[in-house]
Amino acid sequence: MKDVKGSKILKFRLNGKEKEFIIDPDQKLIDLLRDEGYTGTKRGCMEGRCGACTVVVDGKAVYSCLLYAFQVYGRDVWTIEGVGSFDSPHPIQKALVDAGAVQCGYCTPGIVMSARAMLEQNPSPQEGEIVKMMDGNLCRCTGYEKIFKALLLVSGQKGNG
Amino acid sequence: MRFKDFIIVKSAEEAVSVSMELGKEGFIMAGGTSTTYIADNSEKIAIDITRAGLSGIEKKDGGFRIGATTKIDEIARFNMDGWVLSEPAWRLATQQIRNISTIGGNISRVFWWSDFPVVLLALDAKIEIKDSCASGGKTEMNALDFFFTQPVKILKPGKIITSIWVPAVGGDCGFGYAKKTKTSPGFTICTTASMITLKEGEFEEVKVAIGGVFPFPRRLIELEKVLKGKKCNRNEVEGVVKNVVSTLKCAGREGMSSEYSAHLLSVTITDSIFMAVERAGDGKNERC
Repeated sequence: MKDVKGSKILKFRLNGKEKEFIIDPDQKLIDLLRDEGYTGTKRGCMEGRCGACTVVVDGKAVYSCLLYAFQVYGRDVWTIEGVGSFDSPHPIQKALVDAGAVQCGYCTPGIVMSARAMLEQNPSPQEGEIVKMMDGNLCRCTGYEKIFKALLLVSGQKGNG
Repeated sequence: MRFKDFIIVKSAEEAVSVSMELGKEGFIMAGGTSTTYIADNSEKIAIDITRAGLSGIEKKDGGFRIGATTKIDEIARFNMDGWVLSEPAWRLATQQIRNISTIGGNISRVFWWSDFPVVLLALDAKIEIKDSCASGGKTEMNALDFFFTQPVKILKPGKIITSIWVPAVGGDCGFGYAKKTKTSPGFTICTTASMITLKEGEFEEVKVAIGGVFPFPRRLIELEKVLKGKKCNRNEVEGVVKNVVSTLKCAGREGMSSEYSAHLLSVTITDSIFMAVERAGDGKNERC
């Protein structure tokens, strides 16, 4: 990183591409991402509880509201913008829509990112593991059943109902 | 607290050197999740130690040496005979937090909700500190001494935690962990950890640590003394625990009264002791 007028230049891979940003040392990752136009990552609680801000860093789901931007120097960061597209949705996105697991949609980007990280680590999680690995994503709308059903479907398993 | 600059160090030696140079302006940081809870208006320079080669778990000296920047997720997933830290790790917060937080960070600045200080106290763990002023460049503290006061008072500039050693638990030893929360990933209301050794149906050795209901985690030495040599009988243990807890001043959390917290503490202590009893001598101390 280099000093530019008191700020720092930060380099890391974002959604598969090498990027360079000018940052303030005190800047949180979520603020950097949203300021740079990656607004799919949502501001929720801003204290590491709700999961709306979840992104994936080096394959692990993390709260971008807790991470400082400088912490991802040289790392591999994925946001919801890097997952599927409107014309070609990711299987997780398709499963959530097909299962009726999207209502207001505010928690959904965070849920997709957590689920993606989970399934990349273990493509066939059991229901208990899904519940455990998704415990950092809150949803006020759906009651979670359809979300779990969608994730079980995408992992090739059937749920209990 | 506000960061005005940051330095990413590549080794423990560099971390210590930079910390000495920056003095109170430096802030050793791994995951950094606790910075949200630091009520401090000062400006600091972050010393990021996540790339200093301080992570990883290895079997060593009859136990396990855990690098200070080992993520809680890695601790949860580790699996080897005698390893008992998976259960406390899986119960810590959410997956996103477990992916960022480190064991060193969880113990270097202790909050009333901190889980691993309770675990390490019960296990009689040892904390290795790289110390530029110590002979040999490092010191080792047992958990009882380390958590006697807020660790940040020990970890002055030029000192960083490099690793934590915990014993492998097996044979006639058992470890139990009980944590009560309002929601599954919530902050603790009450945390207890117990390590016991049984001999012919009696408690040969007992270590019980508690947290959550006090501002600071602690060992219950007074309980340990009473239980040592006693028969391993649940009814009797419940009575002893209740008597000891009645002498303590428990904080009410999450809208609960202090009286209820005390009751919850009694129940949780007994539960953790008997989890340890069940696991002693029957090979149940592997990963939960």
